[in-house]
Amino acid sequence: MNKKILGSSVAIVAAVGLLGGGTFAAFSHYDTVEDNQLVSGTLQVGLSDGQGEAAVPLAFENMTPGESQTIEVALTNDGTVSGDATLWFTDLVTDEAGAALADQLEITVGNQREGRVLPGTRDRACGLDGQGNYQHLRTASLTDIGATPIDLRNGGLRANPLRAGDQSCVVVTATFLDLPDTTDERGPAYATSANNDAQGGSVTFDLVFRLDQS
Amino acid sequence: MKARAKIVVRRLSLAPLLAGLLLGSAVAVHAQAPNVSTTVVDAQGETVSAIEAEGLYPTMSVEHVVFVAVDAPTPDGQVRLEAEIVDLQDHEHGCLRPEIRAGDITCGPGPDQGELSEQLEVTWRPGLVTPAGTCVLGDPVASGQRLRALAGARVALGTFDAAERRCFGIEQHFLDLPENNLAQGDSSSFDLRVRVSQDLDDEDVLGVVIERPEESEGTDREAPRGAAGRDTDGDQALGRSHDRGAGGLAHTGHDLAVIAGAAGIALLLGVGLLRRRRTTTVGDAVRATTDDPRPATGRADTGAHA
Repeated sequence: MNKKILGSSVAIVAAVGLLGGGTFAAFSHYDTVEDNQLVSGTLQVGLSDGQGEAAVPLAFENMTPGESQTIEVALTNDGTVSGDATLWFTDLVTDEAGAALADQLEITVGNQREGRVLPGTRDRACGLDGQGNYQHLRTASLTDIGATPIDLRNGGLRANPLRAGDQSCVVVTATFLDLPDTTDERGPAYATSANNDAQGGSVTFDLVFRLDQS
Repeated sequence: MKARAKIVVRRLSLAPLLAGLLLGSAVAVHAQAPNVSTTVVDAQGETVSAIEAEGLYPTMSVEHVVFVAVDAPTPDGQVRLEAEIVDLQDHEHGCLRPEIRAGDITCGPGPDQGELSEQLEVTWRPGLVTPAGTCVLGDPVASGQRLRALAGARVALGTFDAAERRCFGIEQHFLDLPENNLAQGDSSSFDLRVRVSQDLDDEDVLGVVIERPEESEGTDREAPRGAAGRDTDGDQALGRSHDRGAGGLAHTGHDLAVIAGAAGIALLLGVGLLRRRRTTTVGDAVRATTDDPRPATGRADTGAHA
């Protein structure tokens, strides 16, 4: 009988103990700042021909020495943060004669210095200020010009850096150099053109415009 | 012999009644509204506006300062301050060309498609409110955690006197990572929950990220919602809401109903033992004092509805 009394007492004490343990607690409360939002910016390149149309690649066919062709590319920062622009010549592919052609193609890169895109004239960055604002950046053979990227920030205020929504006009000119004839011991009548090695050659390459966050 | 038995029974019959009274009074105390309450405010004491930052880019940092006041009937002594990122959502807003080129394949409209929170590092800095009402932030107490990893985790921001106002800063730093392009144009949204508690348990060391709720019992976090429901006091439209934890036991982390139920069961067990004793040794004379389990079950029911 005493065991049962003891047992019931233990149970009751346990009940009180349980509750006691539970009441050894502290109050807490919280408040919430809701709907916080963090939004990432963007940085991406847009290219056009400077007149609002898709950029047109350089396309020489049946080139002859002394011939040249120029393209204008309007480089746009379509993002929300500023970027530093660079131009890369990549993926040069030639056949046997094309290797000689690449050596004889002189590439000149420049951009429009302090050119401004007037309100309402977006995508018409090129040509607004004429050649007077043109700034030369680099000249090299097609073979060599891809060795290092061309820093377009050197192009004056307009492109240093390229702010969100801004445009810069990049001008690329390729010239088939007219090389002097090679000499022949038999006399001038037997001289041949140094350009002959490039006859029938073809080259392809890519122009990569890159924006890196300033 | 019979008289002695009656005395024993009478003494024993007082035990469950006494326990019941104790139980009832204890439950009644916990059924009251909590005596600690907090409000997140701005430096002027007005409703704090949501944290908003746009145009984030790698290497950029933004910091927001939040003021905290213990505002309803204030207890004496120290309270502990915690903060928690809840309801984190990552939106993609469609994949831009740089994202696609970087290999982003989560381009849908869902709240888990973006990558921004993986690239944001969060730093917490507790601060002191000057007499002029400005916040002077101290050294970081927690840093190096990505926003996504922090979702649902509580961060202990120290203790302070309940009579004071306190502030803290939360900084988001956009890490410079090779995979930054994946997060272009993405957004992260979240709620910032600020909690004050009288519980000054040592396990919540300053700056330590407390275990995530899904990895713990979760009762402490869920108790306010589960016991009392979401008490929207009209501030929700302004970006705030209050959840009042009337039924939770913060220190133990146990639900009040569970505690009261367990106590009730223990009481019933005790009463049952007494009843067995009555029927075998005392006789019908004691039925009126021991055969009524209502005190125990009545308290348990009260606890469940507290």
